Amino acid sequence: MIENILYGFSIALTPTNLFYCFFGVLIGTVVGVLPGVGPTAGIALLLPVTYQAPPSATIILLAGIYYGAMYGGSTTSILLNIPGEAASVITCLDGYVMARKGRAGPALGISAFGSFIGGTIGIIGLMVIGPPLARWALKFGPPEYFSLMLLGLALLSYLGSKSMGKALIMAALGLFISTIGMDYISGKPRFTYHIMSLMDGVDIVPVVMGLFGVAEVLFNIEETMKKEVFETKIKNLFPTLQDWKDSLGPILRGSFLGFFIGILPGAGATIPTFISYTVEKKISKKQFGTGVIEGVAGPETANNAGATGAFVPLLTLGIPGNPVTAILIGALMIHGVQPGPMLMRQAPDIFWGVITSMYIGNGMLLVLNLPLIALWVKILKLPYFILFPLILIFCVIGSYSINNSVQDVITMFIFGVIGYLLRKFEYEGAPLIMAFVLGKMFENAFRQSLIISQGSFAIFFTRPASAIMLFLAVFLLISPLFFRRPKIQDAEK
Amino acid sequence: MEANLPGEKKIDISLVFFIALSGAICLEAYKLGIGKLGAPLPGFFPFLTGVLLGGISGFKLLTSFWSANSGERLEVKIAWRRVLPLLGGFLGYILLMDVVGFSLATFLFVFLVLQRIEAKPWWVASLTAGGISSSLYLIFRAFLQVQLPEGFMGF
Repeated sequence: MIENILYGFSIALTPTNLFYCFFGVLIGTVVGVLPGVGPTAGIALLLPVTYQAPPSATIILLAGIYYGAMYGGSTTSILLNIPGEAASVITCLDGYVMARKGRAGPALGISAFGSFIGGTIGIIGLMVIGPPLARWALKFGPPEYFSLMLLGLALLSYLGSKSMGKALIMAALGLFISTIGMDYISGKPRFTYHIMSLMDGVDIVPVVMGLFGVAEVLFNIEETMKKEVFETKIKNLFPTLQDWKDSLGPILRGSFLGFFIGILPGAGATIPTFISYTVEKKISKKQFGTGVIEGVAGPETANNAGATGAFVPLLTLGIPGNPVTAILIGALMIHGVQPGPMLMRQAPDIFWGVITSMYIGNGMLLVLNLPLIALWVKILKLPYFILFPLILIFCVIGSYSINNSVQDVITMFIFGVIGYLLRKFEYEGAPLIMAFVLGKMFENAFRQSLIISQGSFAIFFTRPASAIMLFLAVFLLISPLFFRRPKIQDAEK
Repeated sequence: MEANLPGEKKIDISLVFFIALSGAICLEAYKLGIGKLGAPLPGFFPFLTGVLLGGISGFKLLTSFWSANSGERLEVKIAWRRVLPLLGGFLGYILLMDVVGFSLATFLFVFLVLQRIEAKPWWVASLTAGGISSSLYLIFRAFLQVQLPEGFMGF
């Protein structure tokens, strides 16, 4: 383990990777600060920048954007009462009230320190759990992979969506879209209708940029976003001793809660924050919602720990846990790297380099966030009429630069319109993108299993790991018919 | 967006759309060939996704009929006056890019968006559009070496 860590640091501390790490966390913080641009869109927008970079630098950069956005998102929640991204929603409840009471500094400070501690504990967890999980997953065959991916989609629909039915519809749609292109076994084109650019299938970049970038702009442009930045001199960024005493418990609980929930496909970094807030509210005797520091410390720690936990299935199993890690898988594939249990053996520089770069990145974020808060506040004041054309143009650049083709940009446009309409009808993009990314592997595993078993479905039930995961998936899918599904809105209330 | 039925019930049009889509998917997948369980053909998996899509959409539609409590009504409102011009301008930008090049197309797009949709004075729109298009060209083309369409002007 120590040798691997040292090897990882030797990768992460090269000037190139240090630069990419710094660039990633900086951009991630900006993405987190800016409302309307989440880490998913931010990562998708910056994918073209990574085409010339080595795979390890690519993932270091993109991972930095993800956990950097967790840090940045809290700034807008506290100062603006507008969450920079979904995982910072809950911070608004007490963080903004603290700012109103002249305690913006300690709120921002404890958020940064909590994020650092949560991220660090998450990284340790990743290092401890990752390798044995990867070794266990080496025993997986096609039936296990099929059941695992089915479980992931079921969990995402169960945990992470307002309407499970609509999430499953999106998942089915995503699976269908993944079949467009040439069938890898027979070589027969499917649903291409003689369009040459579709022969290789639909690329992930235009889909993500359309669904999360363009659609977001179309959605936001309907209303003028009113922003009232709380004008106050932000002082005393370092929490007091009493603040630390009050926050220590929530930070520790948030770290473990966030990490273990973040491992679950579909949970991402958002659900841990709601659960952490609910837990702290139950434990504490104080009235939450009145500017209580525990209401900031716990969730902000949980979201960073959750973001780190999401890398466990990505790096060890090759399964994305949320749209962000789904894009990271796409990025790895663009660089010719196959994510999965073999990643640790075939590309240890990527595996250990990314993990150790997270240590470095979290340290950079702690140093960046506190002194640069004044800069983030200035960025917050950037008018949306400048921001939204930039987002659209970034989407165009990102989509065009994959194959230097306008057809990819048109694909992005189409998915932008689709994404906008889906949001209007309250369908979420996350299940679609997860299913789309998993689709080819899912189909591959399913068909191979049936070929091995000569058409018998028993193969999924006679292998213990597959049977357990399949049972859990089926239970999650049918349980809402009998039991009330715990919803995020309940935790919010 | 809902369609009115006699009485209090309303149906979600999106579910009807997905049912129709699933039918089309299943039909096309059938033409590709489904095969047998032990020897699935190219249409096998798409057919299953079509069945899944149609099945879940149909189930949701039926339960919305049977449910005694109509629950929350989905009100879909689209600000056409802001969204349509932006979509039209954006599509025009994409199509124009290959002809006139990235920089000029970007300038025109940003200028039109600021002037027409955001109603900014022409000089604000010009300065902003010029600043954005030249900065982006410098960052992406010159510094990051990202390929961008050059058009007849060469940039």
